[in-house]
Amino acid sequence: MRISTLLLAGACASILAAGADWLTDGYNSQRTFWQKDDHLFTLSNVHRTRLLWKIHLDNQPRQMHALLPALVVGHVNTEHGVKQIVIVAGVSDHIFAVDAGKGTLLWQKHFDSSFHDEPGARPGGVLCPGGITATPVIGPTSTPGKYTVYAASWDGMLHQLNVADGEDVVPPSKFMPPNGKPYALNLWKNVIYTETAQGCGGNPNDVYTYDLTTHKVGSWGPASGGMWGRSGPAIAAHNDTMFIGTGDGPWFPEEGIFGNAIIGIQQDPQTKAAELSDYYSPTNAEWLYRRDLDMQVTPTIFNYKGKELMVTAGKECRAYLLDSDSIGGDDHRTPLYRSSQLCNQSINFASAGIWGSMANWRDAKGTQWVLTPIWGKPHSSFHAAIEHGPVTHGAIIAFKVEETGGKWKLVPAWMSRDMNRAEPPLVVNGIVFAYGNGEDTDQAYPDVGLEDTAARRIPGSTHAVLYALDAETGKELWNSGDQIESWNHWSGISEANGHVYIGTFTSDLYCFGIER
Amino acid sequence: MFKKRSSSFTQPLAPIPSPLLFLLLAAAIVPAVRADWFTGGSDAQRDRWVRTDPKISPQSIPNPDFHFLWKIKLPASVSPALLLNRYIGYRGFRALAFVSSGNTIAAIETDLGYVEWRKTFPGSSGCGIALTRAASPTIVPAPEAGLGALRHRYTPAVSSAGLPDQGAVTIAQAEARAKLLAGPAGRGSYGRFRGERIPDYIYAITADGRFHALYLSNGEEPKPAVPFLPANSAAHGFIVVNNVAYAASAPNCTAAPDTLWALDLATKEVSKFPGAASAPSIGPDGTVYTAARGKLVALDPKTLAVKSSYSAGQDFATAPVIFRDAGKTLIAAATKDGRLHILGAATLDKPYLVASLGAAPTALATWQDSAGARWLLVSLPDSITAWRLTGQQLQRAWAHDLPKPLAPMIVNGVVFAASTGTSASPAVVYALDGDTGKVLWSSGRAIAASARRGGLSASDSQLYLGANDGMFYAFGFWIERE
Repeated sequence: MRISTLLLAGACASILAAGADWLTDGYNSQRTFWQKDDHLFTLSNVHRTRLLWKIHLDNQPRQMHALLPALVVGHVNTEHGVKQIVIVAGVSDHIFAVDAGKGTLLWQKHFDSSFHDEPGARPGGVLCPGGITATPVIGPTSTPGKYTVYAASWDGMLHQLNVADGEDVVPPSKFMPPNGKPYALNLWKNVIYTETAQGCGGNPNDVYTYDLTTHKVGSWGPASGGMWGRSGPAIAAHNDTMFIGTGDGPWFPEEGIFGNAIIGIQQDPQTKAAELSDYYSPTNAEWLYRRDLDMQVTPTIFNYKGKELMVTAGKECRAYLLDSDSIGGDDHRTPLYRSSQLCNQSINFASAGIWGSMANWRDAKGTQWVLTPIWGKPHSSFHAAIEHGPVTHGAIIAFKVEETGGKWKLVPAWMSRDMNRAEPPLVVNGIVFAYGNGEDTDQAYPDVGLEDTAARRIPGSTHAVLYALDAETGKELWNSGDQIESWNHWSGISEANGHVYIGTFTSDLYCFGIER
Repeated sequence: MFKKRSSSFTQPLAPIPSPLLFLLLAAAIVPAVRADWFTGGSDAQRDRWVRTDPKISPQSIPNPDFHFLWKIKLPASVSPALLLNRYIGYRGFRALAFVSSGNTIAAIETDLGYVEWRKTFPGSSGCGIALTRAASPTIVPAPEAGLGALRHRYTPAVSSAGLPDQGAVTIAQAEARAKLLAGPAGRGSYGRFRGERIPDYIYAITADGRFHALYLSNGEEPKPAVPFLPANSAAHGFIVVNNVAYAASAPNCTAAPDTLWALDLATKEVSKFPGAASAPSIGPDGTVYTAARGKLVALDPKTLAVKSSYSAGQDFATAPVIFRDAGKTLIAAATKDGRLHILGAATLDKPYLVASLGAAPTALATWQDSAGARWLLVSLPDSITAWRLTGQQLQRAWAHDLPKPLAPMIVNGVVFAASTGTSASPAVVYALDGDTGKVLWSSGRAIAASARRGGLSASDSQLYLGANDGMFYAFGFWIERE
């Protein structure tokens, strides 16, 4: 009896241990980056985090892109039993499935693209690498333990693969033009949302929605310089609206031009077209355009005090708190709160500002937190209640969301230690995992000015470092030191079931966790 | 739940434009021309004309948002500014004005009004430092009627839905675009192509006559300076075109040049043309035009050998300006006896037109209005006069009294003129309707000194003037930055 009880407890523990998922970039459609279903990491054990395994994947980098953020399904029924599977997209039109427990390859798929590099054609660049640029998204099916990966390949087709074996669930379907640059896919109520940027392939920068029921694709755009939120669009649950920044461009809404703005897009229920439902632009939008200070960060969305709110940012290094019901107020220029500059005092378009995505979580006391990465030094007038040493290259800043008498604000709570190009963090069980990506982010030089090439930036890139911080104080609890041997560009971290995953430019996927 | 807050600007289910229409629409969106002010007189033709501007127009001024913006104190009287309105540098996007003041070059960030970098050269300031950037000999065409104030090149966003299983409507547009580009799908549209970048410089001639090339970003000089002009000579009309630097030297800092010099930047060989009496202007084929002892001469761009000439019978008072009119390349210059001479570049020896201006001129500018009419502006001792050229007829349209005016300039149909001023009566800048001469705006008492060494320049909705007391002034439209 005692032995069977132990066995039963072990079986339950192992099921529970694999009970968490990370199905989409940013954890969920609201891009909270807050893993709610995992309690294996704790403040008391995270210091024992170690490298559990590393696997080299058969992916070829393109420009500076290599591996996109990993997705995790905790409980997949396969022909070899129940497995926890890590899905990683590689820029060279690959999807990889890795056994989360063993770090071994389960299957890989290369998309037979109808689009190829043309001999003698103009080469791409850092901003237009070609290949897969959108983190896939995973959705459950009606069968327990069965999941589908939705991925957009280089030729713009939408693929639906069985997570268990990589087989096509349905034939690939037409989605977007080839050789564009879509960003992380978001799956919400059977519709896939994404957006594109940089005009890659000569394509307009559009929002795209793929309706999985009708197979109709809606679009909205073009949107000026492009929408390049790192984790794709975020979706407000109560009004089914996707939100994204529109990047660099002029703001003339009366002419249908929405540069340097946050836009809300809804799918028309009848026509399935993607339609603009709301927009906000800061009152200094013209200045942002002059200095290439794009509004380009994926918002993070949360419910608080009866509202569904979002926080977003841009290269100017200000944070904006918006109400998803009316993001800019009646004049589309009035947020709930707009911070002073947190960083980028020199008004640079590269290597400074807020890049990527933000995160949010609610602690047990009911305090609502928002986290943002910053690049470069903090602004000389910025101070947080708790700081952990001088910051030169980047850091994570944590805010508390406060409301008094209808007035909202983001109160800086802590700023982390210095990180070499801090990237979007995630939160699990009171711990912030963050990383410095080690990437050379300079795009211009004293002699020639702008020259954003991989040839200049790759040699200057070093290696990523993963950190674990106390989510309430920012105190460093652990870091990966020199264990991650390379850097990454335009990637991210993910967490499920006591494992944190990070990929590098060398197409290596690292898994850190607590040995059990 | 579907809830739209406003949708007046979206077009549900927009029809897919035909491929040809799509490309025609794309081609019709004229790029917003945010011209730099590369050299004295703006460009190689010295026309002092900013063809388009997103904000300045005769309709937009007066405007309470157009006013004095900032001023910066420099060590000595300030040269006319060269303007670079969008530089992507390692410190960020910048809009820069390059001026010299004594033996210092300053790069001033013009959005916020601070010195981005400065470089001081040893020794005395001599006749001051001459500055230029590389300019193109190509005559930029006049903008099409009605597009003078085009602000951007973006198309409105539209909302669409494709047919089931056909993907987005943009797929068909991409396929049509690829076919029209006459290559396999994707060729030529792979993404952004950035060829090898070469440095862009600000060039300077210092008091010792040496030629310098400095990085725009920070004023550093990657290579040693080279000999160019005689020491302690004023450099008039310093310009770099097609990798050759030109300047007319005047000994002892006088206003009257006597030799034109050319420095081949590749070979470092120096040529000279003695007797040149004005700043040079450069024609679209690279021919160098200058006044010399009562003649207007056309010179070989490398050797400065005379190709052709026109004898005016009087010394010239202005440098030549070059423009296109009725399909011809024309050159205008005025003589000290108050006559304006207009010549065809192809037939320099035969005057196209000679007309009396009524007084001895000091400077010329020229522009073309949105209706296609060609205008010439002439600075006279006590006024700015505007003349309309119709065929081979010149008719005075208006005059604005202004004591000792600086050379005027035109921005998108607005003439800016400034009095030189005196210590007792400082310089004032005026904005005049280019068609009528009506005063639209003035700087009032914003400027506190004369601007004898100064000169107007403008770019991207801001204009600048340096004063004799070392103050450098900016005027324009205020925009929110915080």
